[in-house]
Amino acid sequence: MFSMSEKELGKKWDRCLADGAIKLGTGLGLGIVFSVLFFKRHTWPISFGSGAGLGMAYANCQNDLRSHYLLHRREKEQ
Amino acid sequence: MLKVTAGTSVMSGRTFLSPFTVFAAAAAGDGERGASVPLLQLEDLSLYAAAPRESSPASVEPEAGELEQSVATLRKLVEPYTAWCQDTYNTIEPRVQSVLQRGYDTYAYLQNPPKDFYPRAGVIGFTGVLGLLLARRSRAKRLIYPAGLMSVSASLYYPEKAAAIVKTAGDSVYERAVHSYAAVEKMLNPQSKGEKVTGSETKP
Repeated sequence: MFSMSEKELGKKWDRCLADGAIKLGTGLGLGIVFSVLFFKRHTWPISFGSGAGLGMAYANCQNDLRSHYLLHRREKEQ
Repeated sequence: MLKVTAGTSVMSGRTFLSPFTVFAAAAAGDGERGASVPLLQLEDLSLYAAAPRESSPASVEPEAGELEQSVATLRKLVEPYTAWCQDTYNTIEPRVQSVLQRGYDTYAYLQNPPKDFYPRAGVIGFTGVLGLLLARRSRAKRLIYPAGLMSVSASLYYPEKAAAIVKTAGDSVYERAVHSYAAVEKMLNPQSKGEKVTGSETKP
């Protein structure tokens, strides 16, 4: 298996960080909204939303970085 | 997709040597299995060239948006610092691993110690307590006396290891003294070194 080129790795990192920023921001926003509307301005919905967003971004990033080293079924069948 | 079916003469151990006929059926739709399908000869199949990939939208990467481009520029700005952090981590990590390994080895040693280990450890600890008792009313003595007496008693029980430690410690102290002397000399006399260099250059 060949290692990733630096350019490809850089692009993947850019995608990861951008995706992480979007998901964190969205989770934080939703958490604030829910906290204000339904949960009497408690802190935990904000923490939960931002944590969930960060976790989803981490999982996506992990999958993206690992995908280079995985042999897909289509290629295996060929 | 092509479906390949082999003839009855194919299934033998010498498939590469004996001639055989492979019939390949072209793609057939649903409900058309009974219909006659054009058969291809072996030479018509490409064994060594990969089939042309269908261009799917999933394989095409989307263009980088504005956020991604700004993240890329930020990453390039921060790249020297991240490289420094990586280098520092690569130098520190083996040392931490070696310290952890020493801890595991010590634990394993203490699980099955030699026969005389605990009595000797008791005597060495007693000399340390004796040093603390002797060093009253002085903080410096409280550090020096116990350490000195413990090292003396340990060297009596383990003379070879003590000699090896003293030798390596002496070598490293000498080396550091030489380096520090050179650094101090360089700091105090930078001009004289510059003159020496220019003087050697002007000479034919």
